[in-house]
Amino acid sequence: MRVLVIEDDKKIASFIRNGLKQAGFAVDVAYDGEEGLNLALHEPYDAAVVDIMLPLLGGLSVIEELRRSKINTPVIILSAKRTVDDRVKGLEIGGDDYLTKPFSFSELLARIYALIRRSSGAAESTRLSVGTLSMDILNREVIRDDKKINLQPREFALLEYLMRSAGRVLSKTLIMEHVYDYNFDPQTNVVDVLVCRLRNKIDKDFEKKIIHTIRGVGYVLKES
Amino acid sequence: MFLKNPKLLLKSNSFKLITWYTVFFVLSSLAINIYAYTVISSFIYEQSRSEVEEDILELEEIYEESGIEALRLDVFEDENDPFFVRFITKEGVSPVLRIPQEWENVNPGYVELSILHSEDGWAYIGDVRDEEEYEIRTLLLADGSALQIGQTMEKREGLLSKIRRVYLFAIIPIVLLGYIGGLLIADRALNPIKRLINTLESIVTDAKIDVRVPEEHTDKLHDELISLFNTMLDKIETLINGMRNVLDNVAHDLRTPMTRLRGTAEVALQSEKSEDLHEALVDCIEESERIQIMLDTLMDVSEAETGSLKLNPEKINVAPVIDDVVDLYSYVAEEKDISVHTGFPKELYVTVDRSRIRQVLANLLDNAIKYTPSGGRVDIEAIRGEKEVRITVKDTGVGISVNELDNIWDRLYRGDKSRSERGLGLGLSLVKAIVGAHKGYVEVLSKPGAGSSFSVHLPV
Repeated sequence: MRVLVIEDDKKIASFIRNGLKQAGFAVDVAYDGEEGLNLALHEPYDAAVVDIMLPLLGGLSVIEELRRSKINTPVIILSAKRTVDDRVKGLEIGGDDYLTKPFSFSELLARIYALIRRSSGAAESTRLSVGTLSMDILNREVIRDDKKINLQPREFALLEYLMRSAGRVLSKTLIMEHVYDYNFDPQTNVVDVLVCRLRNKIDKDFEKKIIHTIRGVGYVLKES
Repeated sequence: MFLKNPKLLLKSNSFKLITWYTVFFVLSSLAINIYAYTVISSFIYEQSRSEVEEDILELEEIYEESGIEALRLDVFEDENDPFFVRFITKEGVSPVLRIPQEWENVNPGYVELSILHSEDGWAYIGDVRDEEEYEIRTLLLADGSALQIGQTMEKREGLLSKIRRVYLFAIIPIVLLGYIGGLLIADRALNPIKRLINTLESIVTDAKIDVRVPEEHTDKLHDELISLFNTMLDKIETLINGMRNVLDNVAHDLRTPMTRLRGTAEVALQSEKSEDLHEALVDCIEESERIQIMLDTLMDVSEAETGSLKLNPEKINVAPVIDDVVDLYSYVAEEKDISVHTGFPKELYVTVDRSRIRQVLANLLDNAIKYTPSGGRVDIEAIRGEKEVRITVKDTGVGISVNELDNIWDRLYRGDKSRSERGLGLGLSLVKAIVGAHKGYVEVLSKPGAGSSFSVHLPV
């Protein structure tokens, strides 16, 4: 999969490129709006990461121009402003997601995956499995090592999210957003408590732990 | 538009005002004077004519009653009499003719003509050199003879020219008066503006934002201008102070975590062990996240306090919002064995920014659960009053001591008992600021050891 990054700050651009490469993406970087627009118009990309403040041509204009040319590459907007208005404006002109600087890379990655999945239009499978853990979404059944596990709705939602993103780190913000539809970061331990409860049901009685805490970043579900 | 020199402009304005006033004053005085002059001159004219009229009727009476001799006697009685008198018989002879000295230069032919050319019995004639003017009254008598009385207009003209001269000299004081009047009016009208400009200048040049224009209570319009201006300055001051506070606080509050960040990285660089490096990196990320949250919250609080926080108010039912927040914390409360009870009507409509109010409620509930020991209880109640919706979050926690009550809303203040708890001490100041931005207010009741009750009052 190929991602275009339009970001004028060399350091930020390079850490995004390196991170995405490590995650297995092919990455092109443009350092100004014109170059970025040119690339986006002529090369096929699965997703684009566009900073708002860019030399030569602003990020919003780049997105507007792309949409006018009927190119629907999903775009994540990067911005140093975090007011609701900027977010709304960015999404109105055709951005697909909005991320405020400073952001965590794992969150950017998770959002890129989500966008690509959404734009590919592939139907989400109703059966998920990671190792010996399996989930039937229609019947709301969770089974590990042939043992049925009862989960409450929020726990179920979290587990589904973790399983769908298996192997990728999810930040607390993403979990809040996904499970509780909450898009600000209250200084709370809500997510920690939720993860702790899920762990008690999924991991506690099993030798192999599959929910891992990545300190400072978030949580990940994987077979280690 | 920015005026480089408002004083210069003011001067030209006041000059204009004075000039206009002077011109107006002089013109209207002139108009009044001209009118007065016309009235006076016509009065003098009438006066002098009626004198001649009386005389000629008297002579007619003498002639008709006592004959021509009596007439002659009467006419020549007074040698200094300035009137020209003539009696003309039917045949055109003038048996009685009195020509005073002033009439020496009068062409007798003109006098003859005056009989024919008189209108209403009056005629004007000039002298041979056309210097003086005379007027003659001709009265035709019943027997075909005629009486004539003439007078020079010199006296009358002299009087009028004297009056004209008086008026001419009066123009100088009138112009002067007009100018002084204009000066006074310009001063009165422009003085408040002058003071405004002075205040503005001192604000601009000395960067003094606490200066206000003194109120005068002399003129309603001026007072209103001044009070509006001061209100505007108040707002600007609040904003500027708010921004200064933000900068001070941000600088102050960020220094500590930045120091930790830098310290962690430096110490890690001196270590050889890779676990140490890993540990340090994790610490750095956590620290930077704290900085970010703190920055966001500080900005929110400061923006809300200075009134620059952008709200998207809409009329919503807050009951489901409360439910959401309770749901958000249900596991947290459950894990801590705290029971959360709610009591509020199904419909609580109020105009607020939904996500901000959710933030307020989340902060309050978070606090309540945080400071309530295991086995405790938290109550969320809401009622709708006539003018407000009140939402109360009551806990059975540690409570707040009296001397701490005033400080809990302050930025970064954390009570003695809460130091051990996680958090930045920004939660309650954010709550207060957001509620304040909604024109509402917050209240707290607390009894140490028994619990606290926080209420949010939102105007409907």
